[in-house]
Amino acid sequence: MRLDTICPVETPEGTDLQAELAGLVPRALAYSVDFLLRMAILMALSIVLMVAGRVGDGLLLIAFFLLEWGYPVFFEVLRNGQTIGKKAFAIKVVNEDLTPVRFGSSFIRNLLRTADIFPFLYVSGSISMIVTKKFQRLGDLAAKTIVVYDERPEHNTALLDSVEPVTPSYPMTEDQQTAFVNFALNRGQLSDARQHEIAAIIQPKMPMRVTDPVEYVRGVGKWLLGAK
Amino acid sequence: MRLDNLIIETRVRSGWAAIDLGIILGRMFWLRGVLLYMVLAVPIFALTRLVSDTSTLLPYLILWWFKPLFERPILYFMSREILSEAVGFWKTLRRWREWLLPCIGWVLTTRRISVGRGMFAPISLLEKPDSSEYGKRKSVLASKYANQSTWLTIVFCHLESFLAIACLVLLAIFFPEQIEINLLLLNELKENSAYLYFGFLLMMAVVAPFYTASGFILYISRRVELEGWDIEICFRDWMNDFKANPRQDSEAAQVRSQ
Repeated sequence: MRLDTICPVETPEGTDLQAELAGLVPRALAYSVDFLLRMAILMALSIVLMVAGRVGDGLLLIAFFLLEWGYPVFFEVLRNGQTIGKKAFAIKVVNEDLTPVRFGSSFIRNLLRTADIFPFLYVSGSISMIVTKKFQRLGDLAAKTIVVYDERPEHNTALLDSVEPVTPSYPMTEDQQTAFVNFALNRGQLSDARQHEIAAIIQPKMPMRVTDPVEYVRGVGKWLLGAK
Repeated sequence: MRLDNLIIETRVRSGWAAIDLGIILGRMFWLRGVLLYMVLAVPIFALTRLVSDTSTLLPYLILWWFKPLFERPILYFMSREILSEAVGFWKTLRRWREWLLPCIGWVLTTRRISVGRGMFAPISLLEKPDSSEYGKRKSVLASKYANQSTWLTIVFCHLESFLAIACLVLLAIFFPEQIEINLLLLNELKENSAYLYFGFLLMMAVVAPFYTASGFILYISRRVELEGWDIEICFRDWMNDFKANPRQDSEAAQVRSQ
């Protein structure tokens, strides 16, 4: 088993799902975005409520309470597990079985921020996120939730227009298909020499008539992407 | 370099996901990482005590400035372990020339100032380019993860100081009579500076394996993408299976793909 941040989940129906776990650094930054946003709203409110005197002070405290505890729960339950900061980093909160969070678990994980914050600026939460296998803070452990990356968008296939699709003559695993597709899309802009070096590795697997292994691998990749 | 020996899964990752994988690596080699950090940090700490035992910030600044140097044995150790070459703690120490000397002058001067130094440290240590080549390599690698490598440094710098303050707060909670938290400790810096700075150094050491590993994985991820390591590894694994078992290969693939 090679090290990875993928968390595999088996559903009761027997299907295997997987998600890429998000760890300390993006989560801390997403939290900072949310925190600054809340502070900005409170600042604006405090200026507006200055005219209202002591009633204004009361309203401001209520607003603080609602923002501090309601903001994350509101977004996590109603906005696909994403607060504004989380959306900026393309991460979201889900249950451990990858289903969307409901009010109960969102409420628990946010209530337990009081534990994560101990003794100072989320130090317990940070340590917990570093040492636990699924990068969970204490609130996540209690509510059985994880934070994962939202899936990324599809590839751009414009590069492949001039390539002739080739039907492969053997079955391939999912990993091998991914490798062919990545090669075809020339993700990372490999140099010609490097492309040749990589494609030549599997020359023994190719039919005898193939003269240019690079063209062959790109062709198979295009076929796998759906071109016939 | 045998890429099939890599102990990490090679695929194209976002910069954030690369940092997350670095945390796992840092966790795996944490204890040895902290000890390797101390190998250089403790002697330099002792030197700073000789230089100045007054209430200045100078000892802290010196320790802070030498951080990239302290991290180098960890980086050397991880860069070997990640390719399944078990150098271990003692062998890393015995090969001190290999991690102490390369580009050491640059690392402690101009390259010290870079905010993304975690990601660029492997260039100086592992590729050992001359100064003009270094700039080129850096700009190629940074063209994608510049943002992430900067934030990595900022987040871990904060984590380090938060940990230090948290320790002070905890000490004050558990021993309220001995320690008064109202900055008395800092006022009596002259008497306490040795303990205080050693405490800071400990926090640096505790965090360093994670920072170093995350920067290193950022560097590795960029190379995986630029050089197609993931594809090469997949093709090599495939050919190895094929050579080991030419007849059953296609059947096995059929079973696996189902």
